[in-house]
Amino acid sequence: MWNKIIDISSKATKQWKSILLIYGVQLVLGSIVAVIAYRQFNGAIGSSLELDRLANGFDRSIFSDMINKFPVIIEHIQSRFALMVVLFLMLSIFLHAGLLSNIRYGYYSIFKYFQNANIYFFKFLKVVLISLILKIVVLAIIWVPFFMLIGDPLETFHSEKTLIFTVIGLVILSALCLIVIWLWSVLSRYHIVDENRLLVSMKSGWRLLISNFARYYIVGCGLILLHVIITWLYTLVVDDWGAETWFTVLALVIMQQLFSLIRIWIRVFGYSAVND
Amino acid sequence: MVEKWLRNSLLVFMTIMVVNTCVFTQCNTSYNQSQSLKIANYDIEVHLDHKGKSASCIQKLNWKNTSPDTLRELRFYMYMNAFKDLKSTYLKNTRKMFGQDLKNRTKKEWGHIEVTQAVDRNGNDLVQNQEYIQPNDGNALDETVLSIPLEMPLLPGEVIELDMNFDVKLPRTIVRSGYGPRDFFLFVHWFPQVCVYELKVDGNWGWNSHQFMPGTEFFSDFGDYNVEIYASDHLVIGGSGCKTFSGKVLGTIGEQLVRFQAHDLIDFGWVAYPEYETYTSTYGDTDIEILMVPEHYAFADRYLKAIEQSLEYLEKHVGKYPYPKITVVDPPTHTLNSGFMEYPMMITGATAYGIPRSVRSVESLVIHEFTHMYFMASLASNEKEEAWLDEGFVTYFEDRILDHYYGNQSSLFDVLGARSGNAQQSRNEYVSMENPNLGKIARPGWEFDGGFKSLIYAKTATAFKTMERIIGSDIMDEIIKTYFERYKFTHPKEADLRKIIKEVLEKNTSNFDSDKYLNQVLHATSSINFKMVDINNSTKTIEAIREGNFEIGTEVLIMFKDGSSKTVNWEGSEKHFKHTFSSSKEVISAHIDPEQKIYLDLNLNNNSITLDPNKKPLYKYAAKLGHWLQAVSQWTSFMM
Repeated sequence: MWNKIIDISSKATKQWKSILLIYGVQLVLGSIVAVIAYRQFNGAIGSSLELDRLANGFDRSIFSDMINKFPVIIEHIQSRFALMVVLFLMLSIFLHAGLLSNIRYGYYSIFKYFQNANIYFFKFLKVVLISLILKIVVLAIIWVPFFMLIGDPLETFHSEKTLIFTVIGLVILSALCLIVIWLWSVLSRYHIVDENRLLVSMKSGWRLLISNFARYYIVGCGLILLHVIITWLYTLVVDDWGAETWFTVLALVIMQQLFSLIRIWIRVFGYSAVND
Repeated sequence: MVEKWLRNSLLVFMTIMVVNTCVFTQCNTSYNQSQSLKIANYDIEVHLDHKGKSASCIQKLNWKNTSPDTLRELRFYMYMNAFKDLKSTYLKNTRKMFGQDLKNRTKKEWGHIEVTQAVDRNGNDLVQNQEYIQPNDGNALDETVLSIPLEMPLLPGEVIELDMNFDVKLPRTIVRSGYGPRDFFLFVHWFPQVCVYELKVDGNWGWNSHQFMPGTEFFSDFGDYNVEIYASDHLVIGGSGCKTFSGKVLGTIGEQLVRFQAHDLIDFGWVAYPEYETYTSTYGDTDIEILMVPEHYAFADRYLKAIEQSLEYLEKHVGKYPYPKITVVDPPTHTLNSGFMEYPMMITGATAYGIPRSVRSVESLVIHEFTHMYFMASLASNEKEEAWLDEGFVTYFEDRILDHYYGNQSSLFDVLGARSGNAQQSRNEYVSMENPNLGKIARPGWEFDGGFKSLIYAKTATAFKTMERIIGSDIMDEIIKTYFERYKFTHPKEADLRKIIKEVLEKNTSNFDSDKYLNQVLHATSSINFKMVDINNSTKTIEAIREGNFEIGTEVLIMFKDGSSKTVNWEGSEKHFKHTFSSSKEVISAHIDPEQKIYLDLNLNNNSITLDPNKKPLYKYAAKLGHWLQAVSQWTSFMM
């Protein structure tokens, strides 16, 4: 078991060029948002002595006064943030095409990455669209009846505990279903690399998933769990750091970027595990 | 007379029938039971029909005419009639409340109250001539104020006793009072309560008997209450006052009697629900009873701690808690709109399963409502006409207590690096109003058309915080202590508070112009925003402006490049401030009100300019946003 994990880790690590590429794309988009945010904040409170107060930690009054006075700041940052996320999602189809084909063929070069990404992009796009539709249908099947039947939740449920646990249960069920679809889509994409035929690949992907369901499912759930743990660790470790010195600011940025890199490595580890 | 004899006999019989092995939960009796004039005293016997959501009641009223006038009528609040239909003044323009659609209610879901008998000492039944009156808006369909003409005039100093019968039907909970699923009952503002006959501002005496108007609460006289509740024994009952008796009624199947006694209250409320679990504790001389729904049991210690903190803080900074007990009622989620309220010696909280300890909504609510035991129950100002007098002080102390125990940057919530103090929340609620100049604070509740909470609660609390920072917390405490000691168990008005403020300020030789300040805060719509405009080292000037018509003086702190500083006074009357500094030193920053005393300032960020800004926090928060984009991108790409 441990040998397998070490072997997969090693394969994932060997994909460091792909990891850095994906990280680089995320970093560029993140930096765009960061620069926009900096400019907006600087324009609003950049010459205020209140910044000294903010250096010692979060101060709600400073942010709320800024937003009250310049509500457009938040709207601007929000819209750019959403735009960058959508842009990354579109790019991620291409990035996945290169990454998955590299993992499948055992390639590690960036040249091969781009070459295969170019080859498989449209087929992967079709898989993504099909899986997206499936995900929407599954979510609708789970949630629409809930919202239709629930009425006024405070009137319907004797105790909010029932409501809270029902919602938690449905969220977990949704996640479990989405993991199945996601695994199917990843396995289908691996088959596309092998067979180059969409429907046949999707069929093969499904068969493979069913034949090794427990194994794949553990990998899928583990991957999600690791992402949750990483986010929790991040908020625990660095979310409340101040900005007393340039060193703390720099340390914060380095720590943040380490977390980002680890997240991508974990994803590549997951893909390698599914491939194995 | 025969009826009266029969009723009294029945009362004696019922009392005898109650078994002797009952539970007695008598409060500490050492407290002063005679603190008010005891104008309106009520003995009420309640027979609850839990299936019909109603109660038949017998009320013995003892009311004293403390005015110099001879009275020919008594006026009663009949609040429950506000929930009779959508024609009452309270609801006529309302179709939704607390998210509930009111227009589709069935007849059973509405409530009402009716006096069926009111017999005076001479045996005259006065209900024949009773009539509903509408002193505020003339809405003939509003039945929230009842006038009962007297057969014999009531002379100054005389006491009238009335033996009354009344029936009350609870509505399905709209705002607080009402019934909920699974036999939940909250009886508040539920009995015919005598209005206040008072000395008006114009020097004449008269009835203060407003209809139940939107945006208003309550106003009534102090008195003693003896309340006996006969109800099904599956219900757990709690209420204002002290429970002196609780036991099964012999000769009945499943009936219990619960008896309450309370002194010097302005109202009496009670609650019944089969699922309540009772938690009791004592803090100093005060008994604490908490009625919790089972799924909220984990919150009992949070309720208790909030009450203990409130008691500790208020007894130190305001005065001794004037009652022997407090009952805290936790409403079930299905009837959550019965929560968030204060009654004398009883408060209702509100919580929901799973609220983390770092989100102190439970504490802030309990502390707020408990503080009403001082500002409302004891200092019983008119909540209809001067709501700010209780809600403003209560919010101010809610801020102080929360900030004292949990830190002024994080007392309200502290989650994942985002946090807020309670006073910050109050200030923000005011300064983030779309129009902070919306209206003045000192006006009756029904005159508000929006902004009620932001002005009455938040702006008033922020104004008191500003005043505290200007005159100092010791003097502020002395004002409040004096106000409480002198006016507790009376109906203080704004003028009374002002008198105390001036007296204490004079005693402490403070030059704070309280009249000018309070006039601007309470009787004007003005706001204030100090703004530093420019530092010019070549002309050796700094310039600032005051936006808004609120006049108040402050200080400007000028920092020089060599580390030295200079403080300059800015008189409140000047809108434009220009200071020329003669020093050869270079100015590095200028800060208006550097200690943030003027907490009413609409924007504290623009109070200062520095030529050497600390950009580190900007980089930090920008980097954080950038990183969250990376994280969100990574998360959402699972969908692709």
